[in-house]
Amino acid sequence: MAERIFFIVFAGLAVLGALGVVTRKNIVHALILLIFTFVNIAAIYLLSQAYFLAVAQILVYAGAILILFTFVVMFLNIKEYQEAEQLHPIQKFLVFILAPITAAEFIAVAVTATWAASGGEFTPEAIVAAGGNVKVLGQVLFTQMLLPFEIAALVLLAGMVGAVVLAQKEKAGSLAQRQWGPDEQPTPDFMEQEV
Amino acid sequence: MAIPIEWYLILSALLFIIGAAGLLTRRNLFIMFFSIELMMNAVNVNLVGFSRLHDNLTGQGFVLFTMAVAAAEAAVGLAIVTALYRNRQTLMVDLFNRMKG
Amino acid sequence: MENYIWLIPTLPLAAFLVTLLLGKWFIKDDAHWIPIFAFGASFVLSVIGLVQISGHEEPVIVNLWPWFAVGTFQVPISLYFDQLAAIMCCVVSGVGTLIFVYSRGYMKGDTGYYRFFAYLSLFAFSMLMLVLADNYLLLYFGWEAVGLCSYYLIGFYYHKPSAAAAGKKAFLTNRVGDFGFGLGIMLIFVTLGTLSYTGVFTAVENGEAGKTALLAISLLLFTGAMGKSAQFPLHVWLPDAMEGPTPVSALIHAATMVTAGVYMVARSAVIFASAPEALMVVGIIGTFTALFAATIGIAQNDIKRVLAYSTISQLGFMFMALGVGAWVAAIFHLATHAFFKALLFLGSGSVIHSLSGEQDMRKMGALKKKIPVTYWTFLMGALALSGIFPFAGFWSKDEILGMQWKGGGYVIWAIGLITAFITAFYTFRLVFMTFYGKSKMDPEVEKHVHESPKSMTIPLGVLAVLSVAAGMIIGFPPEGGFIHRYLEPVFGTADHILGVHHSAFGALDLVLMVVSVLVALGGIALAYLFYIRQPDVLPAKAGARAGGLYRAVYNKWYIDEFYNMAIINPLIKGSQAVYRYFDSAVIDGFVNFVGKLWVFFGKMIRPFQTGRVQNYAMVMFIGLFILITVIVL
Repeated sequence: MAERIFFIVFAGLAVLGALGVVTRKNIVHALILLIFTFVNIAAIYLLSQAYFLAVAQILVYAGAILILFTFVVMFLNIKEYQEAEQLHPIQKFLVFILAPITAAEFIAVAVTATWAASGGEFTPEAIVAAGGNVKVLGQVLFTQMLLPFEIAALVLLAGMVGAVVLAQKEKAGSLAQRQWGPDEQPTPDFMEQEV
Repeated sequence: MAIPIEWYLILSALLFIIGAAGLLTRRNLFIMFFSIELMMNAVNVNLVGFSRLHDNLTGQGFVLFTMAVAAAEAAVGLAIVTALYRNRQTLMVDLFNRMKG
Repeated sequence: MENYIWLIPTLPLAAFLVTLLLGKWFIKDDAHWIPIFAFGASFVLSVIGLVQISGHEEPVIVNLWPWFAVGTFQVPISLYFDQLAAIMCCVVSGVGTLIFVYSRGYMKGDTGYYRFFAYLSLFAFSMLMLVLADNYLLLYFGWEAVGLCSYYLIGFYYHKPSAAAAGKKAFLTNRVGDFGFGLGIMLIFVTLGTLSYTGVFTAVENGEAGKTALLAISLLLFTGAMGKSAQFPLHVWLPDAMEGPTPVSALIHAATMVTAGVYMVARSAVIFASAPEALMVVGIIGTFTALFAATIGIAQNDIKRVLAYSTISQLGFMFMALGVGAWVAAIFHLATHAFFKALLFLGSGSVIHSLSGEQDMRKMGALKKKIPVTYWTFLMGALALSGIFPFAGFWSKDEILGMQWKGGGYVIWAIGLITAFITAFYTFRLVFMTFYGKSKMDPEVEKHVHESPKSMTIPLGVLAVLSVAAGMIIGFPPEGGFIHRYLEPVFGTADHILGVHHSAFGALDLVLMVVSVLVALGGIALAYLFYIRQPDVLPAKAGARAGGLYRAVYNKWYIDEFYNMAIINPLIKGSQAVYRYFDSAVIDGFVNFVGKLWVFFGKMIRPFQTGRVQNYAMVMFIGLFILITVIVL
């Protein structure tokens, strides 16, 4: 019972936070609200006895990814975010129509379908008996899911290398010789040069 | 009492749709990134819910992988944002239409 | 005989191949040896054949190999050798070999030397195939091949636009005739089921074909003859064909190719005899052409043009003879005409050669003493052409006129007589303007006047001897001479169908002979008056008095202009119109339209590519929405 109440509270807060993220004009506000949402989701993970995941969520998502976002936001020092931030008229219209319908459809399916539980071996009691969620998850990770684990590591490596390369400052004399303002289009002859 | 699986699904659906709406509607590149992260979290919630339903830890393992991938993607995406900003001095996405044709 | 008949056409063919393939690199200036040798060998074999087949009732047929064998359409490559074919082969190869020898001297130093001899050899092969063919399809092959060689040889100096145009004109005019000829052959096959001579002639004799079919066949075959033998109205190509080198004019357009029409009609005598109306048409057209061309010849100033019109006129005589059923007379005249006309052409070539290329008679004169061999041989040929006793032309022409009178065609006889008068006139006009009188030559040219080399004068001499003696030897007495007896087996059936019978030589014939000789002498006298006695006064006065008539005759009765206006220009304008209004507008328009359609579609779809990520994401979301909706519903 208590679980459910907690769940509803955390879920509601998460949804409210999400709504705030997509509607705030101020980027920093949106960022903070996103962190808030993630923390709430971490709480939901706790309620689901996915303890490792809860901590990982806070550590990785809120603590690493979003901090990275924060750094970049601050670094780039966007000045214009307070002006001219409007929503697309046509897209706005379409989204306002389609999104609620899609959500309704998802919810309809979720509620009307029967979800049969296929009993696995990792019931909460069994997990507790085997030494806790972390230990058991770790065992599963390194035995059954070893290959995806290693590949995930490689993905991270690739991402790191890519990020470093992409964010390099360009050397003088390289392709991009000039920069354009927000509303400028590059001149045709310049476009040909690049090609 | 265990939390009914439908609730997880409803939460996941709502978060996903909100994230999609934000992705499609906002002009600021950062907000688009945030929306993407939101969508990925919705997926994670879904996975955790099912992991709980079926008493199978595969779902939770998968969540770890999506988190890793999301981290890598965030890093690369922000590097691209940096490069874009350096070139175009703006982050309004509807001004990036060089591929128009 | 079967053993060597096939060699007669194949030797020149081999000469052609060798000369063409090896000529440029190996043979070059010696290119004349192989063709002369090959054609001479053909001549020897023809003579042997001529002797051996004398008196045979049936022809010798040599089947070489099957060509078409499709159900009922059986056409083999086989040779048909009878007395007529023998005479033709001898004339063609004999006169041809002499002309080959002459070409050695005339074409010496020309850049296309080996090409010339290669084409000449190809022509020799084609003509011999034409003459020796056993069926109409092989005849048609030879027919077309000689037309092709004529095109090559007329346009031999292909750098000259007038020569190239003349070659084209010759080929196209021939094609018009050949169209009718082809239809005739098809009609033969449809009506009689076979194309070989023996099959066709037997079927016609047995009356297997209806009267209208035979009439149609004869007329269609004759259109082919009209084209090839330059009868009115398809005569326009022959004067233009004088653009080719003189040996070509002598060989093809005097002695051999143009006579193919006469040969074909004579060969198909059975068919023509069974359709008397067609024979009448043949005779009328021949007669008209003879007179028509002779009138034009009076006013021409180019030495070769006069001879060209003379050829057309003499061919008209031959068809005149065929028209009244005098097959032998026509073939006889064909042979003698080959001799003296080739002689005249070669002689004119000799004159042109001596004058370093001058062809206009108004710039000649007083050559009698300077190039005596050419003069004397030319005079022999001129006398033969005018029909003076006892030269060759007299016998054959007189026999033709005699047959006309005896056949009851008095009007045709009169026209023939007038034409003979005109013939004598323009022939000796030619002789007097070229060899007599005051020299009107260019001083530069006059300095270099010289007699032609032996390779040119020896053939002239041989032909002169033939022009003098041949008529008497083979054609005397008229209708009872050697040639008549020789060709009897060939034309027996046709004569039988036509109901012609030959009478012996009598007083009537003698009277007619005297009349024609007097007429010819009268023509010569008139020419003497005009061009020797008062050369500065009379021709000009006569031209002025005749006025419009002179102009018409000088301009060839405006036939070419008429064709241009009535046929060629409308065709050109028509095709231009089709090009502009149909091809450019409709067809190109349609193709362009298809292209523009796709461009249009592309432009319609273009707005979807906005280049903005959010738009693309929107599309993806819409897709997802549709998917979900479909699943839910």
